[in-house]
Order: sequence, then structure tokens, then C-alpha cells
Amino acid sequence: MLKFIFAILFFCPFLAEAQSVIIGRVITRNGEAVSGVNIFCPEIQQGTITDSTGYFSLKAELPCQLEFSHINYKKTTHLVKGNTPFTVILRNKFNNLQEVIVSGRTSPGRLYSSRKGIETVPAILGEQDLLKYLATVPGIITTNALDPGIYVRGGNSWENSFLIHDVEIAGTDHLTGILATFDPYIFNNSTLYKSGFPAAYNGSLSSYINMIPDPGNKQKLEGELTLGLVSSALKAKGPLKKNHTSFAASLRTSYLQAISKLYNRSVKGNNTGNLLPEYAFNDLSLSVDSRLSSQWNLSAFGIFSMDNLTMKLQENVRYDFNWKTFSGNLRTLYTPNEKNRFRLSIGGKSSFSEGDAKGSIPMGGGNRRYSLITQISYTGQLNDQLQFLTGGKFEHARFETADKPDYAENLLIKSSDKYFNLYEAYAEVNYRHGNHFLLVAGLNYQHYRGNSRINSLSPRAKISYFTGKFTLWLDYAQTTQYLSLYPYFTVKTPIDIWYPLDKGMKPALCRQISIGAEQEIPIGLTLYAGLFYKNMQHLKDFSANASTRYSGLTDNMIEGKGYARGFELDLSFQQRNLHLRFNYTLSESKRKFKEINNGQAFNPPYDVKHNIVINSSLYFSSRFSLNLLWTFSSGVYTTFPVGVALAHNITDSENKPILIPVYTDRYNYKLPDNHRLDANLDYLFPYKRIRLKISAGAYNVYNHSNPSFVYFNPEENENGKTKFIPKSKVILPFIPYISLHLNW
Amino acid sequence: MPEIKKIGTIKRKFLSFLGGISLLCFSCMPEDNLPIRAVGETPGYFIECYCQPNEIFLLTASQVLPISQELKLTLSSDLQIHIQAGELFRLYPVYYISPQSGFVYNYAANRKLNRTESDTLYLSILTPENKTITAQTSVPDEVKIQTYEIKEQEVTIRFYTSPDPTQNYYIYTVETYSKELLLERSTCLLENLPHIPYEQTEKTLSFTPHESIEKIIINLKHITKANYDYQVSLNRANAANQGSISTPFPLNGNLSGALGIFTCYTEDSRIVQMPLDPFSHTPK
Repeated sequence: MLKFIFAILFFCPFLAEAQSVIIGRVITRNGEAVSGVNIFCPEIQQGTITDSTGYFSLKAELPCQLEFSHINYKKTTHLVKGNTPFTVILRNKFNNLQEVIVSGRTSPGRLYSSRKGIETVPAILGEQDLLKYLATVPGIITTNALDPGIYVRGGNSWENSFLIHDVEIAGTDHLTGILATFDPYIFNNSTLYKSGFPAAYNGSLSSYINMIPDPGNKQKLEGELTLGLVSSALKAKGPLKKNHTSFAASLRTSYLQAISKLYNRSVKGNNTGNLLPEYAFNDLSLSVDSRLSSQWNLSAFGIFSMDNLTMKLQENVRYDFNWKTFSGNLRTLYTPNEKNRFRLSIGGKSSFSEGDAKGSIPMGGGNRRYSLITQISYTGQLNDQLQFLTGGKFEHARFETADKPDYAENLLIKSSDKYFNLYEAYAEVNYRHGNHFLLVAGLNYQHYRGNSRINSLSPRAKISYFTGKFTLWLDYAQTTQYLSLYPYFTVKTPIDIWYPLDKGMKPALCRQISIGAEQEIPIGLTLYAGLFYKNMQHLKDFSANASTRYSGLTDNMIEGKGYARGFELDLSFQQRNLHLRFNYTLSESKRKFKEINNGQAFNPPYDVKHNIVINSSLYFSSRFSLNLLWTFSSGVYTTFPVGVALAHNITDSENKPILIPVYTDRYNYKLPDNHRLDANLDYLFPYKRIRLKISAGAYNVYNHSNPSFVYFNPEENENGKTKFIPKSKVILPFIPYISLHLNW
Repeated sequence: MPEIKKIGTIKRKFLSFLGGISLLCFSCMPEDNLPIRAVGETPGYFIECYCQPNEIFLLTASQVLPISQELKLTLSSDLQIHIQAGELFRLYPVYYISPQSGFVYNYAANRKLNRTESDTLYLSILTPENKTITAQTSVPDEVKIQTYEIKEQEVTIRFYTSPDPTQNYYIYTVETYSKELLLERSTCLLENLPHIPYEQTEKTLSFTPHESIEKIIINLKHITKANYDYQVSLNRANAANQGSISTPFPLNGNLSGALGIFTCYTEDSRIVQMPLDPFSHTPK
């Protein structure tokens, strides 16, 4: 009966019109909705585009032949004979070099990115990266060049989840925000969720970045060699079994350490304080995809990164830091028909960091974190309007730390071992009402069993209204996070310590409501505007005198609350030879902890009030293109001392009085605003099957002094009086670079 | 100690690494002066007093200098300072500069601390603004270096920890001298022994070997937990001054009404004349 009523409601509007309204949905063969697919009917010369959930509607006389085209997928056609809504499955393009469309577009709380989109952003030293692209979209900021993290809608950088095929992976950060983390050769199809999260996602407060790795080329072998100033990479895609199983792989290695060694050798015998640290990193990504049958698909993915930083202080004093991450998953997909899909995923992630000192000061320590994850899900198209998704997840996570206080010890001694088991179940209903409304309602239940036992229910809801090329949506999502990160510095680094929920503590909660609207204008213009508000409870931080020992962390972990609110505006224009993006984010983020600043609310060091991005790509010819990126961001807050005291440092090696900064409040000084222009020129030399692309560019073209950190220097003035002068150091001034990409 | 040393060192090298990347790119690291703005009220007094049995009381009292003003040590001379150590000691304004460290003391008592009279010392200061600053400290047990051994570039000492497991905090120092000139000073805060009562412990420090070394002074101080926490915070606050990527650290003193420390320590030292006998590892 219900179905009948829905059918009447659904078809009533059509009866009065001569043309029929064609309703359809576009998904990948993995069942994921594809946004931004161009749908065109040649007979009436009219078209439309799919929304964020993959749905579209188009008025046309029946029967009608529709063409479907998208940047990442093979063009396909579909003959529509009746009014019954239908689903079209797109297949990935085998050859990425033929991509012509530039980037994904902003969608209801989601953002799609492709390799071409990533390549429109000039990347310092030629290190192109998904995260650097995401940092140019509304609502997402980076703070400075030292910090590899992204901050989404006023949240912290460790409140984001990175997923491959919906399975969370370990953070694979290299040192600083300069070096690439996720190579677009492999990670060329990603979706970022910053609100209105699917019911399947929980465990992070701010965002979820789900990456679908390239499945490879099932027809022929292709490759790419990239030579940059700090690293090189060899990449390949090809069939393992033609038309059946394919792979995509990327192997990258750095030679920074070789340059440092050469420099250090040249200054050997001089003061060791002038030696450059030797930093090396390597990473390997591998994706395998097998089409077992028309109904079964098997895919596997692995990413491994390894970093080493050696710093020599004196002839006999040396520090070694190593960190490694590995994440992998295996996914089986069973699609018995277009209406039902089952998925089973088994994954694991591991991260390890170790620091060791050889010399006069005995020290050392290490952290290890690993998880085993199993996920199962089912997606069913119950009828033309109703889709049902459900699934479950089990995760076992372990966290170990080690201290090595004794000089004589050579092996790290485990000093802490914590774990948790997380059981999760979720369900989501997608209901399409008429051809103007889409309702999504979901619920995520988690049972956390570690030092505390927690049950949490996280509701999700979203309503979208779309008419023609206009979309309006409102969504609500609650998320829960059980992990905290103790940072060694005020910026995120790979050696930071992950810390699970301790006894008696409640998980951090975030409730977010957002509203957005998007209007497409036929001349190639898309306008997006959105508002968001987040309320956060039981946020975790560490009091100022926390030490890096686990016991110290337990004693000094503090709980507080906060909020973030903001407005986002995005304008994108795309014509044949020009792609232009402008976006602006107005944001305010506040935190309040009883133990910090006497309980007064403060702006955290990632609160950026105004953020502006202008990005353009101009294609002069098929060979020659210019990419420009101008960014502006308000200064962030940092902590300044209020005074200095002359103290007797009895442990200092010189046993002299020292001037000690006296800190009271945190985040009491606003740094100057940041802005810069990056540019790069790409030139393509095709020769038979080989293509050589030369990318020459510059970071911070007009050499603006963007502060990376501040420090104090006592300086004597002309009267012979000494005064502390706060100074900002610019890590990244004007930097030219060149990189080569050889494709075959 | 390893931890606090590590943080300062990591940070400096971390930043120089980033500077290295810039150098590789044919660039330099420019810097700009930042405007000084009001960042908050400056806390008033900064007090440091390290008492020691059989030594006179010495104390430094100064004002915390606002960051925005010219640096000029403002020693306070109008405070009324008393220490209760079995009997009441009055500290009077003086001006004394330590010949070893160059540190300035501006209050002193004319008698020495006798540890048999009291296990706990109480500090009381009355400021001209009629505010009271108070603190108290215990007097740690005597400490004794049982044995020492110098091998190549390492000095190893053995000592018994305190019977009171809550007071097992030490500072171990090795100084090398040539012609009475200090060549090198290595220091280590020992904090990993809080729950080992009266157990023989062995600790090693390294020094840079040099032919001209004529004397090595080995020193072990038994300190209070408050002093240990203060020394850690002092080092971390100092490290934070080198860049805003270091987490700022407040001074963890034990004074009520002011910043600083009021504490007591005991110590034992050995003076070793060099060179050593290569076979017995003892002085020739």
C-alpha cells in the first residue's frame, strides 16, 4: 500500500506534462554514487548533471538515448523507454591520460577529487598530493608549512579519518606539509565528507576522506617516471590477467639524505652544530583489482611508508628517529543483481615510531599502534524510491609505548600496553520523494570496550531538495571519537602519541548541523554557499605540564568543550580552456577547558577567521598550461610569554643564569595574516607513445614573509639597553622548482 | 632529563632540517620582527631559594620583567623574609654574586641551616603591597656516592637510593677541568627511581675526552620532587622560547603567591685528578 502511495505521489506530477521526467541514478560498479556525471540527450540537445547522491532528473520525450560522461569513467549510453527509474553503472577509465575534465565539484557536504583536479594546484617541489588539493576547497585550511595536517571546519587535524575502500588506514605523514602523502596517480578518485556523514562512518569528529585507489589497467601496461628535487617515483598500471585482473603501483624514494650527506661531508671537522639532518623517506602503494565474474569482484590495497631522520649533535651524540606505517585491506564485492550488493572487507593498519639517542644523554622511546578491522555491509534497492544500507564493523586496536631510560639498555622496554575492541552496527535509509526531495536517515551504534566501556548512538539525517540545476540541503550528524593525540610540538608530527580513551572518560562528541545550496548556471558556472555549526563535548587536551610518558599523559589529560561555526562560498567556472575557482570561508572556532586560561574560552591555533583561495588553470594548447593559486588566510593564534625571569638553572651545562619566558595564558597572540601566490607551467612533449611533461614553478612567487614559527631574541638597542624582540621565521620564502614526468 | 633535553634538541634540529630544505632550493630563511602587543598581565615576584644543610640561606627575589620592556633586573629590597627551620631566620637584603655561576642573590641570613633542628623548612615573605608569599620544603636525606668508575669517556657512580621512595630524585653532574678552567659540564636529572627504597643504583654520564683534562668533579645532589618538577619545567619553558612549534610550558614552582622555587638539597662530591691509571681506572 505504501509503495502504491509513493508511486502515485511519484508519478502524479508527470501526468500533466507532455514530456516525461526521466529519473535515474549513476553508480560505480562498487555501488558508490557518482556525482558530477554529465547526462546529455542528443535528440533534444539538453542535459543535466548528477547530484551528490548520483541521482538526476531530465525532461524528455520517450524513448530517449542518454549519454553519460565523467572525468574518471568510461562514456556510456542508455536507452530509456519508460518512466521507471533506473540505475546506470559506470566503469573506470583505463587510461587516465585521456582525462580532459578538470575537477570534481562541491556537493552537499561532500567533495570529489580527481587526478586532474589535483594537478590544477601548483605543488611545491612538484610534490603533488591529494591533501594539498583538499586544502584549497572551502572549509578546509592548513596552518603553516611545518604542519602536514588539514583542519576541517574548525576541527583539529587529528579529527579526520583517512579510508581506503571505506576501511580506515594509518596516517602516512612524512615530515612537514611540503612532502606529498597521497600520490594522485593511485589516489585519483576520492570523496571528502565534512558534514552529513554516511551512517557507515564514525570514529572521527571532523571529516572522512574515502579514497578509491586506481584499479589499474586491464588492457595494457602503462607507466610513469617522476623526477623531482627531493624525490623520484616509479609508477605503473597494467593487467596481471588481461580483462580480468589488473594492478596499479607507485614506488617513491627520496634523495634528501644524499644531499645532506654530501653537505655534511664538505663541512666535516667544523662545528657539528652546522651539520644538516639526514632525512630519508620511501613509500609504496599497490592496488590489485580482479573481476572474478560479472557478480564477484575482489580488490586488495596496501600502502607502506618508511621515514628516517638522523641528527648529529656532536661527534659522539646522535639522534635517530624512525617511523613506519602500513595499511592494507582486502575487499570482496558480490553484486547478484543491480538491486543488491554485499561487501566484506578485512583490513589492518599499523604505525610505529622510534626515537633513540647514542651519546652522552641516554634516552629513547617508541610508540606502536596497530588495528585489525573487519567490515561487512549490504546495500539493497528495495524499490525505485527506497534504498537500504546496513552493515557492521569490528576493530581490535592496540597501543604500545616504550621508554628506555637506562643507558645500558639496547632494547626498547614496553612500558605501556593499551587496547580496545570496537563493535559497530549501522543502518541507513535513502528515500527519494518525487523528483525534488531526497531524504537520508541513518543510525550508527558503537560499543567501545577498553579501559572504559561506552555505548554510543550517533544519528544522521539529511534532506535535499533539487530542482533543475539548483540543490538545497540540510543535514545533521553526530560523531564520536575515542582517540586523542598527544603532540610533541604545537604542530602535528609523525612521532606524536595516539592515546585511547582512559578509565572513566567519555568519548569526544561532535554534533554538526549544516545547510547548503548550489546553483549551476549553463555558461559553466557553479555557485555553492553553505553554513555550518558544530557543538563539541568531552574534547581532549593535555595540561601544559604533560610529559611524553604514558603515565604523565593519563594524569594530565583534560576534558573540555567547544564549538565551530562558519560560512563557505565557492564559485567555479569551467570553459574549454579555462578553469577558475574562487572560494571564501569565514569561520570561528572556540575551545574551553577548565585547566586552560582560567577556564576562559580561547581560539585554538587552527582557528582561521578568513580564508580565500583563487585557483586557475589556463590551457594555452594541448601541450601548454599554466596553473595559479593565490591563498590568503588570517593569522592564527600562538602563545607568547608575558614576561621573563632571571633563573638559576642548576641543571644547565654552563651553570649560568638564564632568562626564562613566563607563560600564563595559551594562544594570547595573533600572528600576521598569510598570503602567497604559487604558479607552475606544464609543457608536454609527446613522442610516439611516450609523453614527457616538464613542470616548472615557484612557491610564494612574490616572496611574502609568511611566519612559520616565532621566537624571541634579546637585542641591544642604540642606548645599550637589551630588549626581547619577537621574531617570525619564514621557512618557505620564494622557492623555484622543476620536475619531470615521463609517461608511457 | 632525557625528555627535556630531547625536546629542545629535536626542535632545533627539526627547524634546521626545514632550513636545509630551503637551502637546497637556493633560498634563505628570512625573518621579520613582530609587533609587541598586550598579551596579558605579568605575574609579580620571582623567588628562588636553594637551601643546603651547613650552608647559609641565600635567596633571590626579583620582579618578573614584562616582555615588552627593556631588560633590567629589578631586585626587590623591601620584602620581609623569614624562614622557619626549627628556629626563625630573618633574611636581610644583600648583594652577592656567586663567583662560580655569576648568579645574583639579594637576601641572606647570617647563620647556617642545621639539619638536625628540622626536617621541614617554611618560607614566609611579606611584600610592600601587603601580600604574603609562602612555601615549604622538606630536607632530603643525606646522599653518598658509594663508588665511582671512570672508563674512557664515561663516569659511572653507584649510590643507595633514599629509604623514602617518594623522595628519590637526584641530579648527577660531571665536570671536567683543565688548569682550573671548566671544560665541560654534563648533567642528568634522575627521575626514574621514585619507588625503589634503599637500593644500590648505578648511573653513567659521558664526557668528551681530552688530553688536557686535569680534574673531574663528580657531584650527586639529592633533591625534592618539587625541585625536580621545577627543573623540568625550567628546561621546557626555556626550550619553548626557541620557536612556537614547541608547546609552551609554565614554571612548576612550589610558591604560593609568586613564581619560583623554595627547596632544599643535599649533595656529595668526588674530585678525581687525571690522568687515570689505565689499568685500575683510578688516579695515578
